[in-house]
Amino acid sequence: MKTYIHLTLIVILSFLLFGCYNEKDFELNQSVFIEDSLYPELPIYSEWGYNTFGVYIDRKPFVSREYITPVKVIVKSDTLHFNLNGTFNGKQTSLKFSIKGYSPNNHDELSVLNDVRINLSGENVETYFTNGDTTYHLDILDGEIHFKKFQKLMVDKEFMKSILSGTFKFRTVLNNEPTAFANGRFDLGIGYDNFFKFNN
Amino acid sequence: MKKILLSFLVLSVGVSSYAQRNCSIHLSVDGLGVGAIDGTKENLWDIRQTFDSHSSYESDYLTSKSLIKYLSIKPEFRFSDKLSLYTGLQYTYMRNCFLGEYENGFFYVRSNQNAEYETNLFRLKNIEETAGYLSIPIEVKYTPLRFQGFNFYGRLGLDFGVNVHSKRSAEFFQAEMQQYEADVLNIVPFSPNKLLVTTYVGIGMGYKFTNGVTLSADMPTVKRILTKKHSSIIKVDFLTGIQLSLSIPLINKESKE
Repeated sequence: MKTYIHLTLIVILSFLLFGCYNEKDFELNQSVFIEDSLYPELPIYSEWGYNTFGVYIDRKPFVSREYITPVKVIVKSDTLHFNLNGTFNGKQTSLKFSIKGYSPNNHDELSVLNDVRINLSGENVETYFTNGDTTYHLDILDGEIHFKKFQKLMVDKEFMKSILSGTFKFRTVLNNEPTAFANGRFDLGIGYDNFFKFNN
Repeated sequence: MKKILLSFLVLSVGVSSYAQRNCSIHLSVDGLGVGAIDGTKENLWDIRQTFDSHSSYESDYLTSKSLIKYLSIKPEFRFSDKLSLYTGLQYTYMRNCFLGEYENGFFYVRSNQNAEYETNLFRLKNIEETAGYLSIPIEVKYTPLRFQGFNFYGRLGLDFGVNVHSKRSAEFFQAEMQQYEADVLNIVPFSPNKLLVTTYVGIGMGYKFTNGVTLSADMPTVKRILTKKHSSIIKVDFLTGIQLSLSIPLINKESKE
């Protein structure tokens, strides 16, 4: 009888603890898309970890969606892959910046990117654009990504996740057509569920 | 503004002195029955938004609420059937708060005490500010029509008050964090304005009982708050509502009603 009572208490406590963790985490994992009045259909630039991004591709919006994880940061060897996932022209679309020379071990080490500007036409960066089933390796004519601010997000004095906010723009040739990715912005929470480190 | 207020005060004191020798005196108790507030949210607090402008149903886990109530006791100096002057004491209570709503029941406020690369959010159930003011109202009431015990009137007034108490509090979502309440309140250090000045107008009707007691309702009464900075949460501009009054005769020098 005592064993059953102890087991029941353990189960209840686990639910409570797990529930409390999920409650904080769930709220901060939500996307808060506040439309920019100056750039319709793009989210505002913010530094709250609103889990949004947006960019005009030849004036059409490529933006994050509530039901798709907006970013995954994957570190393999000495390269950091910054994957933005959303929709463009009704299709699931991703934009990936693969940046050599950055290999943080954990998401809180993304502080190395604080206020860093990276020339996207440089030799240490590769850019890929996937729209639907087709992936393009983009030859960047000019442009940059600026990781304006890194923050460690504490809630009630407890470290929850990291926030990376910034802007980007570049010009390229896509499907034999010169194309501009303009007014790009991102405000993303990065944590256990979207930071991956591979040692090989 | 100061000249107008001073003139009003001198005139009222003079008139009330005259009134005490030449008219009947009633005691009036007024209170706000039901009211609506017109104001705007202040942007002093750094609060994480929760609504998604792309969703079909805009959900906002944060609500701001404002409550104002007042009660006054005013001697009424009735010069004639039509004209009365009031002055006395009024207590006004203001309460403004941010509240977390819906299933979550909390909202996030950003601290301004952050180390390098750190952002601290506090998860709160509410932030509340209350203030009480004691005022001297000065009011003129004109009753152009009396009929079968009913009277119809308009009134115009001004009141000047001072702050007599105020309190701020923040309630955390997790009880063990309550020790950091001062850290939250220090994000926006604030004291309410020591003075409260309002003007108001009302139109209404009353009924006089055979014993001389009159029950009235101003529908509506509109009160404009002239002073600012009574709350860090909401800036209240207007209060509109129904004011209820009970008038009891004390000294009756009138020969007829």
